Amino acid sequence: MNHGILAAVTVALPALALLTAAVARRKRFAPTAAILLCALCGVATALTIVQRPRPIAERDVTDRPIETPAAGYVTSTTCRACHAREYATWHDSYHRRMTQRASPQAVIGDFDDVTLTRSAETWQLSRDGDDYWIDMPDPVVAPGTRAGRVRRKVSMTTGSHHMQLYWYETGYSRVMGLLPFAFLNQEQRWIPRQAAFIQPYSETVQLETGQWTLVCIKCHATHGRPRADMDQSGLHGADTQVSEFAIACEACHGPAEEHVRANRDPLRRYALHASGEGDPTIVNPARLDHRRSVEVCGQCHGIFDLKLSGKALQDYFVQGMPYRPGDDLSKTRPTTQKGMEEQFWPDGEARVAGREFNGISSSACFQRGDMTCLTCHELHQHTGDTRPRDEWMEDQLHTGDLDATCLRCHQAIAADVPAHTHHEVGSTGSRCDNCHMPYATYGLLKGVRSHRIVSPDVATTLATGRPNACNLCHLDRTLGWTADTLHTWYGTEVPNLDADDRSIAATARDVLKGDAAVRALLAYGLGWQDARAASGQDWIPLYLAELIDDPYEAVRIVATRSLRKLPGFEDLDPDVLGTPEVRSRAKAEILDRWRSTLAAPGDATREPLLIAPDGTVRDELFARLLRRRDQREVRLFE
Amino acid sequence: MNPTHRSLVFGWWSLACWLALGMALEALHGFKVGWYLDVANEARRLQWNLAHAHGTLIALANIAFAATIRPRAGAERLLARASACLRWAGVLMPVGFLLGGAFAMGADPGYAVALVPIGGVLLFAGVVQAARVAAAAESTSATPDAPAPTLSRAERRRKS
Repeated sequence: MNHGILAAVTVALPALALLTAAVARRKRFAPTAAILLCALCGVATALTIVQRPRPIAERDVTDRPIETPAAGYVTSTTCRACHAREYATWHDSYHRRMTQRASPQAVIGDFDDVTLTRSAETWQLSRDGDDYWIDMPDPVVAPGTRAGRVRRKVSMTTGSHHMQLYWYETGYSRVMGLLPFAFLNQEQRWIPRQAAFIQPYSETVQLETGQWTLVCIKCHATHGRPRADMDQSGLHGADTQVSEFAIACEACHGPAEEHVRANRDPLRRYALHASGEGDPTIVNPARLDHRRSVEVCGQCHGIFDLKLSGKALQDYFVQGMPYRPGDDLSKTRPTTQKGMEEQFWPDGEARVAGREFNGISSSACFQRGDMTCLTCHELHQHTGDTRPRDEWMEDQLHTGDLDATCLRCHQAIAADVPAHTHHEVGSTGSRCDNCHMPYATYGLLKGVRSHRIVSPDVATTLATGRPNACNLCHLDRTLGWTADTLHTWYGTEVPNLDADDRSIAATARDVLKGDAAVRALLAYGLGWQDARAASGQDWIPLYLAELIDDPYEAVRIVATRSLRKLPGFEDLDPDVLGTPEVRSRAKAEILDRWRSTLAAPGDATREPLLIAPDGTVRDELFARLLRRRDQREVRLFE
Repeated sequence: MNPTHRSLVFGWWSLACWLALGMALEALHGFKVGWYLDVANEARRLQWNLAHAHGTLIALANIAFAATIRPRAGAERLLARASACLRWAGVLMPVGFLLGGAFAMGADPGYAVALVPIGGVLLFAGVVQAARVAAAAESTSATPDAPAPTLSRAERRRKS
């Protein structure tokens, strides 16, 4: 309601009431006064209704994809009527917030007249009421001319947990463009979007125009239909529709129209309650065969060959993906490595996070057992779970002892856990996931647990370059130490190791020699509390200082986060996205501070970390390893 | 004890009982008890509110019945049936809601909710019969010179 009218009505009504009371004392005027009062109240009510801003109906929106359920989808609003608890836990989850309409409730980025710069261009962000705007270089530039500026409305967001991205209306039907900056939730700051991902630095700003319609829609919405006008020359426009912007109920349970219709019958519902059977009108991933169950999550959490060409490709551009929960995923989205080799370690394990289906489906626990995603995760917080919702949302794991979940099948180990782990019960080294699901995949500016469940093995590290679980915790140990220990404990064959592998800590070696994705993993690992507890941390700034000046922006951001976890470095906020000179100065400052805090020179145990007993750094070894760095360009598609 | 007195006694005790439930529900609100207030327990909350509302209102209906309907010659059985129906409705409906809420199965109340429609039918029957008793009382009191009180259909059958 217009504030002016509200104020006028607020003043006028009491005044009128007083007037009426005065007049009513003369009884013959009372009916007239009552009618007058009623009439004025009616006028006020009518004004309120007329002045109330009405949201534009979704179907009338023309400049962005719209929500319009079709093909048996009914949306979560319908589900909520009967499944209030499930709805509430989903509603609080990050799945619900994957794609949102830009609104004050959704936007976490700072749009308070902020100017962002990249490649000598500026983007000015502002807010007008509940609308968010970008004043930006016109992305459509005639050859040989300089871009003018345009003002675009932000109408959709992607993500909310670690970072948020913003889609603006291009003005070309429902085709969206992407602001080339991301807002980091942890740091509450903007960074160039390219810096949030492992990819070589590029001056070219990527606007990703049309990507939401053609690519993101598959997994960042429910029942997305690109309805794209595509031909060989590209995307000409789109009437993009989704059933729901969020990754909502029907993304995992399938279209629910038939389920809703059938369950209007109370006798049917009570018969189902009494029988304890599943409802055949809806998919419940917990009741599916373990392969089909995993595929429900796998429809998005995997790396696929879409196998689309010709008519199938045209169908996709119109109707979206044909997979529905419960289907055989391999028929429409078989996993692949072909053409995506960069996303995998050489042995076929995914090296990018968010692709856990590839990992779990190649694990013995899945292939020879019946492990599913729901063995460890729960998508709806259990009623008995007393954790705060925020804590549960972080990884949506079950409550309780996850080791016990493993030991249900591995009963021989359960009989004597220390005999298997060689670590004290209850210690981090005794946890199943720390040894068998190490932080060996990268995504969202952090290390993420590998979902291919394997045992640590130095031979694999040598063959693939992937850090093993032992050295990701014992950061100060060499591969030789790990190989010998595994041989002693488990009889694992000791592979051929060179002198460096025997004398230089695996972490030191990989920080200096490894490729960008390995360095990003180690930048995260150097800040991991369990690893710091096992390895000591007074030497860590030396390596984080090196990573703060890494060629890859994402590595620098991850290294900064780890550095700020170290005592004495919490206050540091180096401008890791600055010029090489700025970064170089930041590196020097970190090293100075490290040298001033380094305790107890003369400790020979730091030799594998290239630190001499007198506390000086073995510069020649450092430089030699740096010269041998794997400089191949790495791009991880998250 | 005549039927109206039964209804009167039942009504007051029932009112005491369901008002006590009302206070218990307020306490659950006051102490923010998750078992009652959490979104997961929406069905329980609704059912218990309904139990409180129906129990209280049917108790009042019983009191109103006892206070306004006077026994009349020839309408005793109708009166007795009306009273019984109202009293049973006052038990079955709120208890059905109460137990249905206590053992709710997700969004559906527990099986005890089956008592509610039975109670509903009894309530309707009780109200209709009370109306007939009231109508009979009205006709006898409004026509004092009438030759004889109107017999109910069952009584006519029995006499013949």
